[in-house]
Amino acid sequence: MSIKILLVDDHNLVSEGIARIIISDKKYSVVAQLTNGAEAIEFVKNNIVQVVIMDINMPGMDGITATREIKKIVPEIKIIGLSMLSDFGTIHKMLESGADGYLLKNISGDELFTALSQVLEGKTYLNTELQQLFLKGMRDQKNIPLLTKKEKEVLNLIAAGLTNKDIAIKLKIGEETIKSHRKNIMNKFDIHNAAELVRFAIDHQLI
Amino acid sequence: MDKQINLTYRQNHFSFDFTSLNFTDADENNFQYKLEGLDEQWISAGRRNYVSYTNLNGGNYTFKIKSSNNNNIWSDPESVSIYIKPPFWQYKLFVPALILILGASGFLIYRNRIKNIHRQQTEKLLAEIDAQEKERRRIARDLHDEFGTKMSALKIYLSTYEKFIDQQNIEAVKTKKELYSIVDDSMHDLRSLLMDLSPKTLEMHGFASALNDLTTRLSNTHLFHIKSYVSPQLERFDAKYELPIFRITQELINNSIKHAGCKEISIQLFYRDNCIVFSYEDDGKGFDFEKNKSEGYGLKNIETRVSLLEGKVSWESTSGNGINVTIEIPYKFKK
Repeated sequence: MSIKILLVDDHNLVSEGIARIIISDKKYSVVAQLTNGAEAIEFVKNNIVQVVIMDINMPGMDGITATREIKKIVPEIKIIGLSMLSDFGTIHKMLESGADGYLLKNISGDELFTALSQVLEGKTYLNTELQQLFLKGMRDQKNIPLLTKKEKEVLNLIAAGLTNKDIAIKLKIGEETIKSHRKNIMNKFDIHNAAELVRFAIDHQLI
Repeated sequence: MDKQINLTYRQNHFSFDFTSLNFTDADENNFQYKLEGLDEQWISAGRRNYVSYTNLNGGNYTFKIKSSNNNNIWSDPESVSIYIKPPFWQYKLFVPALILILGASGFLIYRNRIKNIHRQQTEKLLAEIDAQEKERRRIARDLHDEFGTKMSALKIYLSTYEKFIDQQNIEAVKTKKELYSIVDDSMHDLRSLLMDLSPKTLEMHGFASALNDLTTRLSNTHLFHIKSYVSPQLERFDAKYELPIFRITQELINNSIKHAGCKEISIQLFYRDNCIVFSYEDDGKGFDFEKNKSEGYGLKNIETRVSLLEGKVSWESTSGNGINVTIEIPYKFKK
């Protein structure tokens, strides 16, 4: 018996193309091509489906919500997101909703079959490009505060004991800007007073 | 006969009739009178035994009258006090008060008018920007739905077509590769264009996510590094603020790419002193802000967007030492 795949995409042309790729392998069959999330939820309640390939942006119910709902109803269904969007936020939300993989809408047949067999083995599928993007996103999300070039300059001069005014003259920028740099550093690194800032400046001057 | 008569300013037209109680030779009786407050000196009436006054100003008056008999002996004067209540315009402070009131209302009307003009201009600008954003969203949606979908389909169909290609035919394989690369490049360009036109990630996931997306995309295609820091409480905020701040970010990055030749850009967003504080640095060649503003570097746009949010921008640039832009926008979190 073939593996039953449900396609959910509001654009027929894409759906047709994907279907055409899938049926070229006899292992798989396409059980239906639906156009939004709500239809997909109804469908999986009454039909046997092993894999759902789910678009993200659809009128009515979007793919992220539909994924979450389907995973609640039939947790063993594998869901692969399929979108033109390749940003961390969307990929993150989709995986968080329970999706097993994520494909961009510029896939080749090979990649599609790789993704299908991976998720059916219980693995998560992201291609190398998306893996990189996802990892960078996770790192950035941690939002580790860094010092900018100007902030480093200002900090060095604070460590050297200069006043805002002296620093402003030395760097040829306004005193207000120096004050703003100071406040930004304090805000980022959770520093509450001038003494702590000076200690911080001395510590960081060495780097 | 000491009497007080009170009158209003409308009753400032009156006369006195008088007579002398000496009948020896009544025809020889003479009268003199004076209205203190108006007349300086006694006025001789001769034998006339009445006097009229018209149009007297408000104030206190004393009417005095004396008479002489046939022997030319004058009596003591008799007097009547008259108070005419002045009309409001004759009060002492009326004129200065009037000037003050006219001046103040003139000023208020002027200020109100300036305010109105300012408000109308602001509303017009907001409407223009709003219309522009709507148009961008519409174009992005159409591009995505029509063009993007077809490009996706093209790529997908191309991959189903691949198996019909004779892998031994070098020319066919080469062409296939070129086709793939053209389609991939076009889709990549289209995705970037869509993100610039209408940042879907901003709408869906907020500022921090959209900034992350923008910097990731740019870092992949350019030779500079973008560092960003978004204060944790500003990962998501009011869309009315998110979009303009995101547009400002795009505008500044475009400037840095086009004109500055920089290696590093730092973008930071803080929440302090009840303001969203946006800080932008690059290490490019810097620029003369006032000069470039008039040359349409999009800097005017930034100022407009900031002023619409009642914020302020400060630009710092030293030649060869990059730019530093700080924007402060008052902001309160919704409870």
